[in-house]
Amino acid sequence: MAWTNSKIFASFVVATIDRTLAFDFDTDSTLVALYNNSITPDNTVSLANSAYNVAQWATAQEQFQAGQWAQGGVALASKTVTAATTTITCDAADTASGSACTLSNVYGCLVYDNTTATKGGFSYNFFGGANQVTNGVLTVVWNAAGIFSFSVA
Amino acid sequence: MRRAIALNAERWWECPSCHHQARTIRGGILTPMHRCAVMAGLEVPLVQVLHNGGIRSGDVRHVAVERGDMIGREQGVLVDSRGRAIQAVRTERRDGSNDVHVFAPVATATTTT
Repeated sequence: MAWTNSKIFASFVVATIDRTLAFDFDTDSTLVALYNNSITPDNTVSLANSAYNVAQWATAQEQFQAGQWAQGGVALASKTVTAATTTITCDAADTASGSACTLSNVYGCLVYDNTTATKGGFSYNFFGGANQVTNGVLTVVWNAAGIFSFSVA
Repeated sequence: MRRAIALNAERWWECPSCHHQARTIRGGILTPMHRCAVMAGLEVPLVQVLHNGGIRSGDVRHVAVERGDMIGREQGVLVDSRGRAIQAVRTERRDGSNDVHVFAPVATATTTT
């Protein structure tokens, strides 16, 4: 198995509702960590297992380069949380590496709250296949519909 | 003696595919994008050039990377005007280096009552 889609963690929603963990997307340090295809993400895992460097999100599967795309991830900038009628959207500026980045087998990312002790995940976003950069810039272009969104229609 | 230092952030850009040119005067590290007809309507990155200098043919090229996996129920997968699902655009340089812009789908959830 590998990963094939993009999902919001159920544990993030539960923890936000019952205050198990004080997630704060647009105020906390929210990081984007890159991963290879040797993982099988599951958005129904426990809060603990949605976290960075736990279970599927262990550093053994992380793709990083010191000084370019740091281990642990690159921080999201210009984060927004907006509600437009029945859609709540969490978004940010596109996320870029340093200018001399070399990475391969980049299949997707974990978006997580690095400020909380648990480092729980908001979402994982699958890039559709292998991506590589050689001595250049890797930019994650977030969708016009956001990094993750909720419909309450 | 005090000197005034002029900070000129003006930069010139060109699309390797259609040679559209643009000028920016803001700072920041992100590369400007433009919707390119030659690249089947994809938003592709521009390449920084000397003032109105242009890109020598063959020095830089865009390569659209088709999605490697099925779309399934993914939301926000980029589709070009030829109907191909695109996961990324690589900007390849003659020296073997490249940039890559990866188009992330949106993770979604729906509530029911």
